[in-house]
Amino acid sequence: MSVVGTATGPALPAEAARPLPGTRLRMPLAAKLAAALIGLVTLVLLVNGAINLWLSYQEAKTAAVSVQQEKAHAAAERIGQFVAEIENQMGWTTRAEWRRVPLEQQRYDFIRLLRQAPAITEISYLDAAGKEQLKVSRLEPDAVGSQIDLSGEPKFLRAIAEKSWFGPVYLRRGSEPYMTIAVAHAGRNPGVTVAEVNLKLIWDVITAIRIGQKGYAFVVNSQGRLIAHPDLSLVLRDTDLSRLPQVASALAGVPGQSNAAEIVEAQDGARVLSAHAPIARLRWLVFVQLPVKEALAPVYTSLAQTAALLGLGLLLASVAGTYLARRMVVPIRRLQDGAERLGGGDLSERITIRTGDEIETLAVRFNQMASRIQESHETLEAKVVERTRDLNETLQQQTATADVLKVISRSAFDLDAVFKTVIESAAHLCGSNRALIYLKDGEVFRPAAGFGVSPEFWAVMESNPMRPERGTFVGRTILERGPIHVPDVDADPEFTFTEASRVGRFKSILCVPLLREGDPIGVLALSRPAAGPFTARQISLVTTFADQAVIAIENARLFDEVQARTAELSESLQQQTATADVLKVISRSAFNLDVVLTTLVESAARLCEAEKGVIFLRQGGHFGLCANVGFSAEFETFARANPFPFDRGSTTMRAAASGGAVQVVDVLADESRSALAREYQRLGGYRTNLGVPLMREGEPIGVFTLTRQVVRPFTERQIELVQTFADQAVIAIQNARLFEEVKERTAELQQSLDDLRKAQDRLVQSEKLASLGQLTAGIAHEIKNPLNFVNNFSLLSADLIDELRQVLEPASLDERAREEVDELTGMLKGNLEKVVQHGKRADSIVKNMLLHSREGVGEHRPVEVNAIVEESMNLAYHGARAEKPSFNVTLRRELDPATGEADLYPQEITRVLLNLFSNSFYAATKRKAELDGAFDPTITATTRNLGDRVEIRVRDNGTGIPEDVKAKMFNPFFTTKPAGEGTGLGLSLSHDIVVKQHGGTIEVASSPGQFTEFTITLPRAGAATAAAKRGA
Amino acid sequence: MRRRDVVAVLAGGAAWPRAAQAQSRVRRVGVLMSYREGDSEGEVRLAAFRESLRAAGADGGNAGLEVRWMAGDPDRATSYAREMVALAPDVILVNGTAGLAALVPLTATIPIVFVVVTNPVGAGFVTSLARPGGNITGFSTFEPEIGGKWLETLKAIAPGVVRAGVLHDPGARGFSALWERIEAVAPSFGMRTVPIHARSRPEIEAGIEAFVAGGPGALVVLPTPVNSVQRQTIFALAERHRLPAMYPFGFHAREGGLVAYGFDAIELFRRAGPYVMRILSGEKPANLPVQAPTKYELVVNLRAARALGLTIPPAILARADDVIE
Repeated sequence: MSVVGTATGPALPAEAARPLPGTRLRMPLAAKLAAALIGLVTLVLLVNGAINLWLSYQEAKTAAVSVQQEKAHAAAERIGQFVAEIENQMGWTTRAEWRRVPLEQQRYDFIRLLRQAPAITEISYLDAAGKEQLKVSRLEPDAVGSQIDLSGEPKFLRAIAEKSWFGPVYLRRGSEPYMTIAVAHAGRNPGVTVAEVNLKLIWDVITAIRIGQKGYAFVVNSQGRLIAHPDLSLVLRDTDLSRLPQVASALAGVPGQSNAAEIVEAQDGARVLSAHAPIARLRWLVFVQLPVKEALAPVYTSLAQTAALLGLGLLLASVAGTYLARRMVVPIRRLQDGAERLGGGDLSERITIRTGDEIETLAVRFNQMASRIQESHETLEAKVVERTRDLNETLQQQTATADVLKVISRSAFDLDAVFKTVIESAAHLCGSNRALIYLKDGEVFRPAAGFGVSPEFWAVMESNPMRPERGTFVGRTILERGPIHVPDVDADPEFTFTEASRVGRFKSILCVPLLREGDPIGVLALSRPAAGPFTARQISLVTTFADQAVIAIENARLFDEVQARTAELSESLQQQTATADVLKVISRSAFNLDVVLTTLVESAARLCEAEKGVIFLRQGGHFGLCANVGFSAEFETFARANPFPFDRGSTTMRAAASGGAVQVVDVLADESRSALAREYQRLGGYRTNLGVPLMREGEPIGVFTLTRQVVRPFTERQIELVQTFADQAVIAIQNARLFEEVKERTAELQQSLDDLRKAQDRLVQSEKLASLGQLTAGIAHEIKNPLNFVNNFSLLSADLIDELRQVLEPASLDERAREEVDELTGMLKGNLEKVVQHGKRADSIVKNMLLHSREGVGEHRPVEVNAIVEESMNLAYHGARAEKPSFNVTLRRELDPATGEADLYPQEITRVLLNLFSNSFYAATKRKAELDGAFDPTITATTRNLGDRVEIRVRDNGTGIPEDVKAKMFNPFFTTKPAGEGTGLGLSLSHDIVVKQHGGTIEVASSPGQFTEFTITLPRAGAATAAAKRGA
Repeated sequence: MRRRDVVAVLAGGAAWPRAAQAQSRVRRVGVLMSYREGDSEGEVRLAAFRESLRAAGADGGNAGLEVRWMAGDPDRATSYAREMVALAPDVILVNGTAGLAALVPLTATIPIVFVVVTNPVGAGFVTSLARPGGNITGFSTFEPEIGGKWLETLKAIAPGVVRAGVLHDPGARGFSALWERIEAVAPSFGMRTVPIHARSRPEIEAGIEAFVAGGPGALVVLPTPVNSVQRQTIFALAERHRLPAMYPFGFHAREGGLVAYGFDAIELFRRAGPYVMRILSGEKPANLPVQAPTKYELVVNLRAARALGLTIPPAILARADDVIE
C-alpha cells in the first residue's frame, strides 16, 4: 500500500500537497476483515473459556473446601482423642474403691500412670475434703499426705460438679503450655485425681496430621491462644492468634458449629484455604490450613488448558482470517495500484482484473476513463512543450545575462574571468561550439580568450592577427563597426582566410565588435560547425555581451592604473617610513657612530633587498671597512686589514672617484677589477654590487656599498634611497665629530669653572681675615696706651726699689729686720721684672695686631725672589740659633734660576717667609724631641718659575698638621703652640700679606708625622696689580 | 511481541538458575562439645545433631561443621570459644554450660544455639525462655527442683544413707541453683550434704577419698561437664568405696553408674538441628524460645546395685524406664 500524501515537499505543486481523499493511511481492508474474523472467534473462545474456568474453579474450590472441612474434623477428633486418652488413663485411679487401696498401691498406680501417659508431668490425689493426699511428679519429690487444702480450687470444685474438668491452658515458666485435667472419682464422697498435662506433647499429634503437601493444622483455645502448632516455638512463645481473621470469625461464631472453609491469610502472610472444627469438650478450635496454590492446583491446571485452547483458537482464526482477507483484497489492491499509476500520470496503464464481479466492472470503467484522459492530455502536452521551450529560452538568456553581469560585477578586475564567462555564456546561448574574443593590440587584433578552441586553431589565430579588411570576418567586423552574421561561410564570396575555416571547421559565424566610444577595441566571434542562421535574439544578446565585455575591459584598465599608482605610493611610503625610522635611530644614538652606520647599512640592505652591505670610511689615502652587515667575520677581518687604495680597481673606489653611485650588475663579468677587489669578492661571494660615495664638501669621505648574492640590478629608486642613506651617514659622521668637539670644550669650561670657584673661596677667606684685622687693630690701639703706662711705671718702680734699698742701707736696723727688708725688696723687684716681661709680650702682640690693619706698608718694587728666600732662610736660622744655641737643622735650597724678579713688598714677604721658616723649625725640632734624636730635621726651600707667576715652597719633615687644624690655621689667634710661645697671628698675617697685598695664594699640604709644605704663588706683577685693584 | 523480546526472555530464563545457585553459599556451623573427642556419648550426641540437620534440609554440602572438643576443661572451653568466635561461623552450637559461659562475653552477634544447659535464665544467658532476647537460644535441661528428685531416688534405693557428697564445680555457671536446691531439701530426707569440689580428675579423686574418709554416705553427681567426662573415674571410685551414687543422665547408669534420673540429651540434639537451620535461613535467635526437655527417664543398673549389695525397691523398678541387668 502506498503512502501518498504523507511526505509532500514544499517544492511540489499545491495540488499534490493537498491530501487526496481516501488515500490517507488508514486501516487496510485486509486488516479489517482479519480483525473482524479473529475478534469474533476470540470473543467466542473467551466467553466459553471464562465460563468453563469459573465453573471449574467453583467446583474445585468447593471440593477443596469440603476436603479441608473433613480434615479439620478429623484433626479435631485426633486432638480430642489425645485428651480423651489421658482422661481414660486417669480412669485407673478414679474407681470408687481406689480410695481404699493402700497408699503404696496408690503411688504405684500413679507411677504407672506417669509411665503410660508421658504428657502427664504431675499427678495428685485429692480426697473428698479437697486435701492433697498424694502427689507424684516427674520433676519434684513425691508428696505423700501433704494435706494441702485445695478444696476451694476450681480443679476440685468443677471436677466434683462436672465429673471431669479441663482447666484452662497455662504456661509454666512463661513458656511451656500446660493444662489441668481433673477427674472426680466414682461413688459417694468422691475424691479427685488431678493431672497436670504438658501440652507440648500434642505436638506429636499435630505434626502427624498431614494436610496435603504443605498444609498444617493448629489448635487454639477459646481465647485464641495457640495451643499446638507444628512450629513448637510459636507455642512456646505464647502466640495470640485471636486477631487472625479466620480465628476471630471462628471464635465469634457459635461454638460447636463448624464453618465452611475460606481463603484467608495465614499468620506468615501466605494465602491459605482455612477450615476449622471445634473440640467441644475443651472449647478448643482446630484449624487446618492448606496453601491456596496447592488447594486450587486443579483449577490452575484447568486455567492453563483453557488458555492453551484459546491461544490455539486465536492462531487458527488469525491464519484463516488473514488468508480470506488476502484473497479478497488482491484484486482491490490491483485496482488501487492501477488507479494510482493513472493518478501518477501513467495513462498508458490498463487494469486487468478477471474476477467476474463488480470489481472487474470497476476496472473496465477505469480503463475507459484513462483512455479519454490520455487523448486530451496529449494535445495539451504539445502546446505546453512549445510554450515551455519558448519561456525556457528566454529564461535561460536572462539568467545567462544576469550571470554574466554578476560575474562582471564580482570579478570586475579579473578580465580573464569576465571573458571566460562572456564567451562561455554567449556560446552556450547561441548554440555555438566555439567562441573567441579578439582584442586590439596596436594596429592588429589578436585572440585574447577562447572557448572550445583547439590548440591548433588557437595557433592559427595567434599567428594571423586580424586587420581591418573584408577577407576575414573579424576584419570585416572591425571595418563595419557592427555585427557580421554569416549563416553559411562557404557561400560567402569575400572570405579569404580559408585556413581558419579549414582548421576550425566552422560553417556559420557571428562576429560582434567591442566598441569604445565608437571605436572597435575588440571582436566577439561565435561559430558553429553547421551552416545556419543565428536568431535576431541571439545577435542582440551577443551584442549586449560585447558591450559588457567593453565595460569590463574599461574597468580592468582603470583598476590596473589605480593599482599601479597605489603600489607606487605604498613603496615610497615604505621607504619614507624606513628612512624616518633610520633617522630616529640616528637621532637617538647620534654620538655612537658605529651604531648609526650599522643601522643605516642594515636598513638600506633590507629596503633594497640586498643581503649584505658595508660602509667604507676614508683613512688617509685608503678606504677601510667601518660598518658591516651580513658579511662573515673572515671578510671583515680581511677588509679591515686591507683597505682599498685610492684607485679605480673596485666598484667602491670607482664610486668614491666619480662622486656618484656606481653599480656593477655582475661583478664576475667585470674584467677591470683589481686583485684586491677579486679577493674581496671571493670572500664576500656577491655578484651584484652598488657603491654610493659619502661626500662632504665635494670630497669623498667614505663609500656606502650594498651587494647581492645573485645577479640582480638595483633599481633607480633603490639607488636613490641608498644615496639618501649615504647623506645621512655623512651627517652622522659630521655629528659625531661635532659631538667630540663639544665634549672637549665642555671639559675646558668645567676646568675654568673649577678655578673660578677656588678663587672665590680664597676671596671669602681674605675678606674674613680683613674684617678681623680691622677689629683687632681697633682693640690694639685702645690697649696700647694703658699697656705703656703699665710698662713704664713698672720699670720706674723697679728703679725705685733700688733707691729704697740704698736709702735703707745706712739705717740702723737689727739683723732680722734687715734680712726681711732685703727679702721683701728682692721679691718686689722680681715681681716688677715679671710685669715688665709680660707687658712687653703684650706690647708685641698689640704691635702685631696693628700690623694686620696696616696696608701697603713700605714700597713695592721688583725683587729677586731667590735672593729674598735665601736671605729669609739664613735670617731665620741664625735667629733660631741665637735663641737656642743647640738648634741644628739641615737646610736645603732648590732654587730655580729662572725664577727671576717679581714686584713685591720685600719686608712683608720677608716677614711671611720668616714666619714659615720659624714654624718649620719649631715643627722639626718638636719631632726631633719626640723621636729622641734619631732624626734629621730637614727644611727645604724651593722656587719655581710659573711664567707670569712665581712659586715658593717651604717644606719640613716635621710633625705635620692634623686635618682639623688645617681648616683653622689661617684664623687670627689660632695657635697650637703652648701658651706664651706664639701669638696665633703669624699665619693669619702671612695669609693677609700674600693674598691681599700681593694677590697671590698660600696653600698648605701636610701629612701628620711626615711633612708639611706651604706653597706660595705670587704674580710677578702681584703687588702692583693688587695695589691697582685696591685703588680702583 | 517482537522477536528480540522473546530472545531476551529466553536469555533471562537461562540466566536465572545460575543466580539462584549463587545464593546457596556454604554455611558454616561451629560446634563446641563438652566431651572429650572419641567419647561415646559425645559422638552419639554429635551424630544425632548431624542427623537432625540433614533431616531439616541441610545437605552435606551447604552446612559444614567445625567441631571442637572441650573435654570438660574450663581452659580449653575459653580457648576454643575464642577460636570459634574468630572463625566467625554462621551459627555456633554449644554443648554444655561451661562452653556457653565462655562464649557469651566474646560475641553478641554470632547466633548461638546451646544444648544441655542448666537453668539458662537463672544463669543470665537469656532473658526469658519464651523470648530469649539476644543472640542466644537453645535447649535447657534441668530445672533446679529435680535436685529433690535425685535425693528422693537415692534415699529410696539406699534408705540408710544420711550423708550425701555432691560432686559439684562451684565455678561452673548455672549449677549453683541445683546445688542450693539439693542442700535445701536434704533435711526433708534426713540427710545432710557435703560438697565435693570436682573440677578435674585429681580433684574428683581427692574429693571422693576425703568424703569417704569422713564416714559412710552416698554420692550425688551433678551434670557438670567434667563429671560426665570423668564418669568412669567416678564409677570406679563409687564401686571401690561402695558408695551408692545418683547420676543425672541415663547413659551414666547404662555405662555402670548405679542409678540415673534425667532427660534424654540425645533428643535435645535432635531438636537442635531444625533450630540451627531456621537461624541459617534468617530467623533471629531472639525470637526462638528456649525449649525445655519433655522426656525424663529413670535408669537403674542392677549390676551396680548388686555390687553394692543394694536391693532396688519395687517402686523404683516400677518407675524405671530402663533397668540394666
